[in-house]
Formats: sequence, C-alpha cells, structure tokens
Amino acid sequence: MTWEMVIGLETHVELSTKTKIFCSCTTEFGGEPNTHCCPVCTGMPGSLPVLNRAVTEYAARAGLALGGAIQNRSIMSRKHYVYPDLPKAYQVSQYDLPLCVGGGITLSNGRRIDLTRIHIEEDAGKLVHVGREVLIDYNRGGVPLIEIVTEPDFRSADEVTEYMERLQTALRAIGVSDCRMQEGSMRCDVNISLRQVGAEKYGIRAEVKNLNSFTSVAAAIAYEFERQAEILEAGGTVVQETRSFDADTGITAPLRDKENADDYRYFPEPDIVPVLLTDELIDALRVALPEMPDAKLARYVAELGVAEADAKLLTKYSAVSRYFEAASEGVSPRTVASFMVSTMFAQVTTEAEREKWNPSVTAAMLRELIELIESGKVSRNVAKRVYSQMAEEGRAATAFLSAEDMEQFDDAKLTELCRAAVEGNPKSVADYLKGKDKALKAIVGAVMRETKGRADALETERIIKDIISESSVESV
Amino acid sequence: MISYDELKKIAALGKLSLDGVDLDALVRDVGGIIEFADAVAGADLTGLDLTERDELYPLREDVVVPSLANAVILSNAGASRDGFFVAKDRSDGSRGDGK
Amino acid sequence: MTTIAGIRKLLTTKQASCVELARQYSDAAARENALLKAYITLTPDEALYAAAEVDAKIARGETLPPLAGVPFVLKDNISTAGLRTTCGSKMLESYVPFYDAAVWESLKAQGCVIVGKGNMDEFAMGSTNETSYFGGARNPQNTERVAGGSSGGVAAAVASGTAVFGIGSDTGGSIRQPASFCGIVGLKPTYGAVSRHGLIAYASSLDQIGPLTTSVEDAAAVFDAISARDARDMTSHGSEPVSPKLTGDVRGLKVGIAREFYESLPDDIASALDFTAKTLEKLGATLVPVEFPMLKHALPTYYILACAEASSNLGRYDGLRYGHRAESFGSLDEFIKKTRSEGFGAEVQRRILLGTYVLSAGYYDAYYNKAQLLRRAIVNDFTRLLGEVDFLLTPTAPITALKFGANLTPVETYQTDICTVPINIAGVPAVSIPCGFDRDGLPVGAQLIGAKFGEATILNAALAFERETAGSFIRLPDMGVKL
Repeated sequence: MTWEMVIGLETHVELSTKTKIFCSCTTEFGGEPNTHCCPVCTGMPGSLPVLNRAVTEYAARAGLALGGAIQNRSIMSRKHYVYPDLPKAYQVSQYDLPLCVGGGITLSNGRRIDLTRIHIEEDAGKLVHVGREVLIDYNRGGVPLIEIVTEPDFRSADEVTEYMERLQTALRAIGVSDCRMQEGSMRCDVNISLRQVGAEKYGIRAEVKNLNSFTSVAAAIAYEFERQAEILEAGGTVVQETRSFDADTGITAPLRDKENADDYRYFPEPDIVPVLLTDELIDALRVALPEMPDAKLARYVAELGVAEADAKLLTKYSAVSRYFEAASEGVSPRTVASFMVSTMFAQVTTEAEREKWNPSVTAAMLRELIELIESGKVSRNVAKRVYSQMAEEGRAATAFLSAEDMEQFDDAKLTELCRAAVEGNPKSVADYLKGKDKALKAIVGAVMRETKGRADALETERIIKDIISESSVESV
Repeated sequence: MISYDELKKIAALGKLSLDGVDLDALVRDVGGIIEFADAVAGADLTGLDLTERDELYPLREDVVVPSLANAVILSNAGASRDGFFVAKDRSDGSRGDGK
Repeated sequence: MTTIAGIRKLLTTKQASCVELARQYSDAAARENALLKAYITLTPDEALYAAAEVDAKIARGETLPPLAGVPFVLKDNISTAGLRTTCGSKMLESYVPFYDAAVWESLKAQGCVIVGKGNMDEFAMGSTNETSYFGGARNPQNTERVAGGSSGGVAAAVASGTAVFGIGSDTGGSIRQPASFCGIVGLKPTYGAVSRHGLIAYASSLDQIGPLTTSVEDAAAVFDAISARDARDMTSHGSEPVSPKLTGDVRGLKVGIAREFYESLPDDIASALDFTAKTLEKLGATLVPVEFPMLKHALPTYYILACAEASSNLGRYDGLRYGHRAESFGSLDEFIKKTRSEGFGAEVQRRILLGTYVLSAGYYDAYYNKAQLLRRAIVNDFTRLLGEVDFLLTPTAPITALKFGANLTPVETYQTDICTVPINIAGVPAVSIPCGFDRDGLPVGAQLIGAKFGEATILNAALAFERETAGSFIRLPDMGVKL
C-alpha cells in the first residue's frame, strides 16, 4: 500500500521581549541557575502574574505578519500538569479564546499551510537530570512564548522544513524572536498520521513533542512514517498518544503511561483580566510592520535589479537586508548585492553570525567602495583585496588607498597599456596566434604588473585580444 | 456519587496519595459533596452568557527589574545544590514522574 | 475595648508611649493565646521595632499616619517577609516568605504594630477554625465555642482585646462569619478594592482582604488604609476613601429584605434581625421586601468555583521550592503525592478532590461551566436588586458560634455559609455588625450588602445602627489589654 503522511505542526517560539510574560525578570538566555527569578516566576505562595504589554504586541505583530486575525478580546487560561519545571503546577496559556486566529504560509510548491491559531503562554523552567537527581533552574520559567498551530496541511517532511524556514525568516524580519533552535527559542511538536493515498479521512495521529532542530523534525517524521506504516500494514491501529524523540537514536517513544494520561483541566485564569487589544492598536501595529521577506525579495528583484539568488540570501536575514539597503543608497544595488554575496557571505558563514550581521566594514564604508568600483577607480578584482584590508583594519578604503592606487583606468588608458604590452611581447603574440591560448596570459600578466594589479583582468584580456586580432588582420 | 476508580483517577490528577486512607469514608464524603454540587444541574440557565463587560487594564511595561539573589530564591527549598533546586528520585528504573 | 481613635489619643497626648502599648499588647496576646489560640505566631520583636519607630516620629513632632502605632493582628495567609506564614497548614509550618504582601506594606508604612499572625482554617478552608493544623481558635465570648472561620484567629484576637484591629481574608464569609461569631465588625470589601498581592490564594476570583474591628469607624479607617490599586495585582482597582463619607444618616435609604435569606432561621437570630430592620426604619430608612431567587443555587455554585480554583492554586505545593517534604518515597511522583497527603489536612484534600473532579475531562461542562453561568445569574440578580434598593439586610449566618467538635458532615458545614457566599460570587461588599444575642448569649451578626464599591453606603448604615444602639451589641469579654 502507498501511504500519505498528514502533518500538523505546533511551533513554540520565544518572544524577544526584555522581561518575562508575567514579571519584570530579564529574559536573557543563560545566566547562573535561578538568578533571573522572583516570587512570580518561581510560583511563591501569594504571588500574582502581571501581563507584559510587549508580549501582547509582539504576538499581535507575529499574527499580523502571518495574515491572522488579531482578536480584540482573548483570555488567558490555566493548563494543569505536574512536573518540576512548572512551579505553579499549571502553565498560563490560552485555550478557547486565543489572541490570533487564522493566517497561513504559502510554500514554494504553491501549497498553502493554514494556521489555526497563535496564542501566548509562559515557558517552563529547565531541568538537568544527574543520576537520580533532577536539578531545577527557573531562569527560563515565565519567558514569553507564542505557539503557532497549523492545520494538518503538510504532506511531506520537506514541506515542514520549508514552512519552518519561512516562519523563522518572517518572525526574525519583524523582530519578535531570534528563532534560535539551538538555544531552544524555537521548538516544535509534530502531529503525524498516515492515510492511504487518495483517502479523505485522516488516520489516527501521534504527537511527537519538543523537537529542537530541523534535523530532529525531519528524522522524527521519517521514523514515525515508518513506524505507523508498519503498524497499519500489519492491520493494526496507531495509538493516539504523545511521544518523545531521542535525537541520539532517532527513535520516538511514548511519553506518558496510562495512569498519568493528560487531563489539562483548562479554566480561565482568574488572576489575569482579559487581554484587550483595540482596533486602533491593531491597525497601528499593522501599519508599523516592516516589509515581509517575500515582498522584499520581489522588490529587490523587480525594482532594484538584484539577481534572484542574491536577493534570496539578502532577505533571509533582516540585519543583512538592512545593511544591504543602507549600502545601496546612491549606488547600484545589483553591484552591492553581488559583492555582498560573493565576498562577504563567503567570510560570514555561520547562521548566528549572519543573523547578527555586524561586519567591521560598515554599510557606509561598503557604499564608498562600491562608488570607487563604479567610477572605475578600483577594479572588481582589486576591490576584493581592498575589502579584506578594510575588514582587517576597520578603515574606509579612501583612508589607505593612495591617489596613485586610485588612478583611473579608463578604456583609453588601458588600451594604451595593452598595446604597449602586445608590442613588447612578440613571442607570446606569435604563440597565441599559433593556437596557444595560454600565451595570452603572459601578455595580460604584463599589463597587470604594470598596473600593480589594478586593471580588470577580464577587461584587459578582452582588449588584448582585440588588439592582436586587429594587428594580425593588418599583417595578413 | 463517585466510584472508587474515579476517586483514584482524580486523586492521581490532584497528586494526592490514597495510601492509608479510609477509602470508604472518602468516597462517602467526596460523593456527598459531589451530590451537593449536582444541585446546579437543575438550574435554569436560559439567556445567560459569559461575555463580560471588560475594563481596559493597564498592562505592565517591558522594563527589567533586577531579580532576587539566588540564595533568597532558594531560602525555603528543602534541597538545593549549585544554585539549583533539587528533586530526588529514589525509585529504581523508570523515572515514573509521567514524563 | 479600645478603638483606633483611643490609641491615637493615648499617643498624641503622650499618656503612653507606643513601645509601652506594644509591650502591653504583646504580653496580653501571649497570655490569652495559651487558651484562645488566636495567634499562630506572636511577633513581639516586630511590634517593638514598629513601636519604637512611631515613638521616634512622635519625638520629632512628625504628623502620624491615621493608623500609626495601632496594634493589630494579620491573618496567617498574608505574606510577611522574614515572618513565618503558615496558612494554618502543616504544609507551610516552617515557610518564611521573602516578600511582603501589599496590605502588609501599607500597614507597615502607616506605622502599625503587628502583634502576631492570626490563626485560621487551613488554607482558609473551613467555617469553624477547626481545620487549622495548629488547633482551632476559641471564641473569647465563650471559650467552649469556636471563633468561626476561616479568619477565626483574627476575630478572636480582636474580640479578646489583644489587637485593636485585624486583617482577615474572605472567600465565602471568612471575615464576616467569625466577626459575627465573636461579636465584632467585619468588612468584606468589593472584589478588587484591596490588592491580593501576597495573599496566599484559596480561590482567586473570590478572595478579598478586609478588616475586623470593634467599631464601624475603625472598619472604615482600616479599609481606607489598605484599599489601593496595585500594579502587582491585575484584578485590583482600589477605592475612594470612605471615612469622610460616614455621616450615620440613613434617612431616605431603601433597605432590601430578601425573604430567601430568612427562611428557616432560628427565632433568636430572626428577632435580632427584625430588631435591626426596625431600628433602621426608625432612623428614616424604608424597608423594601425583595426577592433573591438565585440564593438556592449560591452554595453549590460557590463550592464548585472555589474548589476548582483551589485545586489549581494548591497544585504548587509539591515540596520542591518550599513547604513540607515527605521523608520516605520512591519516585519523584511518589514524593510529590506523599508530600501533599502529609502536608494537607482532610478538608483541604477533599476540596482539592472536588475541584479536580469538576474540572476534569467530561465533567467541566456539567459543573464548572454551569457554575460560571450561575455566577453570572447571581451577579445579575444582585445588580437588579441593588438598582432597586440601596443595600440588603440579611443575617450573616443562620447560626451562632458552634461548640467545638460539633461533628457536622462537610456538606452540613458548607450549608452554614449560605448567607455569605453569594456576596463573594457577586464581588460586592458586605459588612457584618453585631445586632443582638441568641438564647445562649452568643452574638448574632447582621449583614449589610452593598453595590460594587458601595462600602460607604453600608458602613454608613452600620454606623447609624451602632450609634442608635450605643454600641450595646459590641459587648466584649474581660480580657486583653485594659487601658
């Protein structure tokens, strides 16, 4: 039988507000254990939550960016389960009235993934298991999260991965989260079921919780597909349950035994008044939303003439696109883009560095360099060297390039130098005419030596070829 | 009324041990209370809804206030080490804590 | 019996130093507590410290805040940094909070002198004080009788003259009923008038902090000192000061008498209430018979909502961060279960079980959701009634102080809360004032119920009654401090 996988995703994203969702403790990642804590985030008796305005606004921005409908009134609810990372034995979340309803993301294959909802909630603390001891750190407890829930619209692991990448790009672009999976600021639960290709009814699903890397998501989906297919092939039924994924073994396993089955006993959180967002506020947030990556990409290609491949890279990171736009003012964006992608991206290779994007060469310095290229004062291949020196010394090109360095090589001047080189290397010319293409390099090299490498090699080669062909025609 | 099984399930959810508890008495007491609560079943609820007239409450501004010292946070903990709260598990085999 | 004004006079006329007063109250509290069990923890050091500050202020000629130097008792479910806060439970027997409740901050700022932490039913769950892990407080009016619950220790402390006023909490009658049992004044303010920051939660949507005093004017003065909007409690609103509005004039006011509250009332309680109504009428108020058909649903509604919230609020007591810890256990799950079963008393466990039950899958709609709708119906009833009349007059309880070990079933005990729980469900204010004595000479309480933030109206009527009867129903035993 051929099986089709049906997947729905719940993505938890930490919001990058300064303080926690219900108290004024910092949300900074890491720190010595239990040093970002107060009575509220450790659940001390008598402490009360006070909702952070920024959390509601960040969540609303995320909802707007993803095309959802922000609700004027939503309700916080308590979700109960007992685990040492949850100091109150309930997580304050949203249940029947979430902050945002609907929205979606369209994939490159044209399929649209619909969002069911986006709600706000608090993160739990962190546990370290050491032998038979569990060490508990509540620094992360109370860090604000949004949970983005999709409809069961995915049909492959690739779709899931692409969705997550697009989600990451969008949330980073609006500055609500850094979405770093390695730091746990983006995590997924995957709901997966199988059905026969062509069937309409969904199968019974299993939920794999807490996947914290793209690799884990893909591996968990692959494992579940195999596992469920095997059960179904044998005529069995998949058990609806929550499973965990072990990244080391690549295996999923049931998370809770029957006695400890979930019963979250949601009810409206009486300590927190309803979350009210006025139409005026929602409109203001919508207006203030930055351009989304997809729109930006289209604009870079259509209006700025940037090559699509370059535009994709530049729009993936909001810091990069900000830098690019600043550097492109008054110069050719296409040149800036290709220079950034070919030269700078080659040196900034990790995702984290690209996200931050703070090269020692400022956008203004890069713009000046591009101006020098455009005015022909610095050739493209010299530009790379000049850039390296700029990066190393943190200085503008004009700060160390001499007037001689920046002597213009206009076509007339270069042609003159090429003509001299052709005349000065008759043997090479003869060899070239005999078909030894390599011989041309010697002549180009002569020009390069003469110009201390400031001439454009390709341009020089083209001019030399022209001169030789002209003269050989003459001599014939 | 409540059955023994239901009571056990509820006790497990509420994280209460029934070891050494007079189950008959507890079933009778809790059953009595549930019966008492059952009186809401007969109430006429037509025309009622839960939509509140809400007031706009000023939310907290996103400004960091220094957290408390680790020693203060841990001051009531029965077990702590290296700045952590410590939970112990003395069972053999699986953690049995449901997760 | 001394009032806030009495203490202030002693201090401002320099007839007594605040330190002397603090010593007298602390000594008296220690002396009477052996029998009364009004206090779980006595705080003589804190009392002296606060008193010395007040004396220093007086010496410097500074203006004193209205409650400066007044000895008081704070219910032991209100968080006091550095002072053990037990909630009447073994679970928190040695818990020492590291932050202050908002009310405690306000009272400290006023220069109040804390005598001790008042005894209470465990986690405020009880109507007789007998669920306290430390043993129930005795009623100073008759020490064979309970002080009531859950703020029974606070009421006993005030009625015994070992504290001038008390701060209690009221979730379903926990200020008013013990006030009525002990023959003093108890005000349950409008939900949100007083910050709950630092009040250890029983049922968050019903809990409210308020004063227990020996006079209506004192109740108003304490209310004014503690009511404030607090940025740390999203449900708090604060209130306008009520003291300036107290005239004792009830002429032209309409007093609603809802017959449902008077059904099957014992004769002696009924006649005390009748006297109260007639007195108000004599003073120029009009009695208006009204109906409150929702009363019959109030008790189950209350117990469903309160227990649901309690089961959630009490989930945090797992022995990991504070509180009792089980000694012998296997798995972590077992540790948590044993910790809770050892740390909580029987009544608390029953309420956790009921609350868990009504919220659990399959029962939510039948119980919790229905109770929420009934809550709305009760709110609607009160809104309608309090549009027709200025306030309602009812008994505070259908009983007077019970004997210890009356051995009621849980449900029988719950039924004695019938007159007080609807007020918490609706979030409106109510004050209990002494209005007579039963055949055993025990105090009877009358309850005046106002519209939201209508504290001034009910306290004003209470003051009119108190003045007319020359406070003759506030008859406190020969105990405590004699000034």
